[in-house]
Amino acid sequence: MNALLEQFLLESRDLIAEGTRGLIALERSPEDGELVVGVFRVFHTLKGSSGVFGIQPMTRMLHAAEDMLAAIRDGRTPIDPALIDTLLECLDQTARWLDDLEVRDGLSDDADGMAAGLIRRLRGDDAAATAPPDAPEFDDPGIFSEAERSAAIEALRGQAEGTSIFRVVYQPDPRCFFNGDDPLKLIAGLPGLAALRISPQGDWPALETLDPFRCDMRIDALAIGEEAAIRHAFRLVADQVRIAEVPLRALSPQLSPGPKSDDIVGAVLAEQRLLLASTDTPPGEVAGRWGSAAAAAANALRYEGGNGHAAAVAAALAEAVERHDPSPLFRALDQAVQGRQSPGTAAASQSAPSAPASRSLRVEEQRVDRLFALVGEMIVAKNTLGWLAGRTAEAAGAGDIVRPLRDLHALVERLTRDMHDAVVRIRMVPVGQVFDRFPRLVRDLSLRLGKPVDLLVEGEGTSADKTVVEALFEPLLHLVRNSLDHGIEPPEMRRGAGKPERATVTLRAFHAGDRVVVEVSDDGGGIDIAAVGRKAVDSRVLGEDELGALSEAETARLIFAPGLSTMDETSDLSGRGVGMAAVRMAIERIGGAVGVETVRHRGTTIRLELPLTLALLRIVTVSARGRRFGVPLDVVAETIRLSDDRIRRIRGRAAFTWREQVVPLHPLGRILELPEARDPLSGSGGDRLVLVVDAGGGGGFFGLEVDGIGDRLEVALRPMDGLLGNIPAYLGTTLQGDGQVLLILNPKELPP
Amino acid sequence: MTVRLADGVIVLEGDCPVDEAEALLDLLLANPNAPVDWTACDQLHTSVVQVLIVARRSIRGEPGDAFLRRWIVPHIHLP
Repeated sequence: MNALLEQFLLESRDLIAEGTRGLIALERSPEDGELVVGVFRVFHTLKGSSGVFGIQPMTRMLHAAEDMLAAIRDGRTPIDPALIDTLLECLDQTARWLDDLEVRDGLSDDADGMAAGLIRRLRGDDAAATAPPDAPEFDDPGIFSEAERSAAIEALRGQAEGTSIFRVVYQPDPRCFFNGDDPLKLIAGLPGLAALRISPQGDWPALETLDPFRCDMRIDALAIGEEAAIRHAFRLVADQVRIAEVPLRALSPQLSPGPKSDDIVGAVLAEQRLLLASTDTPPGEVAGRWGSAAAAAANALRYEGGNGHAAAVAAALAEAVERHDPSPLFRALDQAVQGRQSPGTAAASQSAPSAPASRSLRVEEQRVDRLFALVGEMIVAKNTLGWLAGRTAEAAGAGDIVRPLRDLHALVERLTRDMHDAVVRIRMVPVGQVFDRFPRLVRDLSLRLGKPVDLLVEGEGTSADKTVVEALFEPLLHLVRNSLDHGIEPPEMRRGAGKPERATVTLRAFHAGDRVVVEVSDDGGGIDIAAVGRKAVDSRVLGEDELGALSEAETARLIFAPGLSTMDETSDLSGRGVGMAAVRMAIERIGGAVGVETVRHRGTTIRLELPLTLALLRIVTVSARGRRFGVPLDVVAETIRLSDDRIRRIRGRAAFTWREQVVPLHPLGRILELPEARDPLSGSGGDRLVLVVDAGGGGGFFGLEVDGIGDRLEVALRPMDGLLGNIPAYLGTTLQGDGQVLLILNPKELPP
Repeated sequence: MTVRLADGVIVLEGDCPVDEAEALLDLLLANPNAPVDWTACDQLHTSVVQVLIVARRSIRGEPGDAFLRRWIVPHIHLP
């Protein structure tokens, strides 16, 4: 893929996200002029960039959408949900086309039809008559002279925002004189007439055979103004007129008949020049527009190695902004164009100081992932080195090699840790990447459920490791759906409770120490804690007496227990009974924890606490029935030896007393149903080795009996994926120093 | 009368509505060498302009109306 297309795809996807946000906000605040201008700018930019790649259906569709937004901006068209829907669909379709473009360098075969369909929907029925969807592109600039075209472009400069050049083709009905039509009078009343051609529809007849009452004319015109005004002038003969905005490029005399298709840099430069000349820039955006034109031009120049020109353009931008005058930019662009045509003379004129170019770099994800994997392997190698150093120390007569080997191990350990940190930092992305998908989702869901809901997003700039952020989407999706479906009451019920009909769901992210916290809050009905408790007892998650011992907060946490759903009916949105347990497991799998706060009739907050990075995990290796496993050290409260006489039987279960509490004891081998080792050395006598594990989340402690305890290691955890990803007992795997795979247990999920 | 023949010249005056087109056509056909003077012309209906374009007759003077001067003259003053 060429670099320009790549850039276009990246930027367009950002723009689509921005446009989606804007449209959704606009639906809520239709009066907000800035929002309209923002969305208009998104469509305008998308349309403009798409022009460079010759993807006509997309350009046409975006153009129609832009027209619609211009009409909204000028107060000619009201905003309604149907229109927002269509505009959102235009963005969806654009996103699909971008995917097509990325995969196969072209649009899908049905692109024309899709575009035409959306254009028809955008224009609505009555506008469809005035502007048939088959309105041709402006492809015959030659009908007007070069002088007329230049004059039109000049006349456009200095016009108000929203002004463009329109091509008008008026073919009056031959019998129009009988209807009282006077076509030229309509033309005379046209605002901003810039060129006019009168020609016969066929050939002019001889004077002798001329029927003076038959109109034989075809009128071609260029008009400068706002589309609405131009269409208004022809409203009575709309069926005889075709009106289309003319891309400046098509008129520009220097470029006619257009740059060669292989000169992409030239095309980009020309595009930027036209962008600077265009007048539809709101005053507040002028500097931004210049900036983006200069940046695009500079990028294109750098792309072909013209760093000097690129720097000159950047310098000219600074000058232009300072003087509030774009002419330095025009000059720089023109010089760059000339310099490209005569490369020999180019270098001499480059005395401009090199501008401080942006130092950020866009790198493919896979490359960073590769780096991450390599660092993971280095950590394994480092651990091997430590193991080797240990072995050497045991060997006799190696005294003088042990110390340098240990020093080296310490150095490599520090270096790999720093390196891991550095790579992890590269992978930090803002959670906004995930949050961005929700405004649209909430809007659609809220319409479907008939519950008006506002989504508030806070802290979208909070960053965390890419894997953590990506893993957030599904749990958040579940939580947000849950909030809308079950949490938020129907509007009439809210009204009855004295709450605003419009509910609020908040997505919030913030850093707390070395964790990132993501919360989903709603101001809905809250969780019926008593019902959760009853349900838990009914589903045999716990006994009646156990429930009685739980505090309210602990009872609320039961929603995360497997096999428990408080809603009896299921919907297609959520409530399949595994929801919250699945959320908890997904979050714990990436080393996070879940929590819930709920107040009846006030709302519910689900809190996800996640590691900022997939940092190195400190584990201790244990063995059971001849197999080795890793246990994360952060859940191990203590490692103890238990003599048999300290173990008691309580209701048929083994337990022991630890720090004045009764702790159940589970042998790891039995939990995992491992086959008995052939030579059960341990367990036959002496003390038992027990890890006291904090099950977390109010679940208390339990003892994990193992046969042996080995090294403490720092490892890079590889999450399980595929089928294995659904086994809750394991957090993931890591490679050991000897090359074997070590399974890392998820102790919180272990007790049967 | 807004279209009339005076001293061998076809004169257009004031507003020339659609029904003047036939009168103009008749005068042009009847006087194949008569030039057209539109100095006093304020407005021409499209049908009248069409007759003038097809006639390719030499035209005298400049009409008072700005639209005619700027946009129609180039179509009628044939080289």
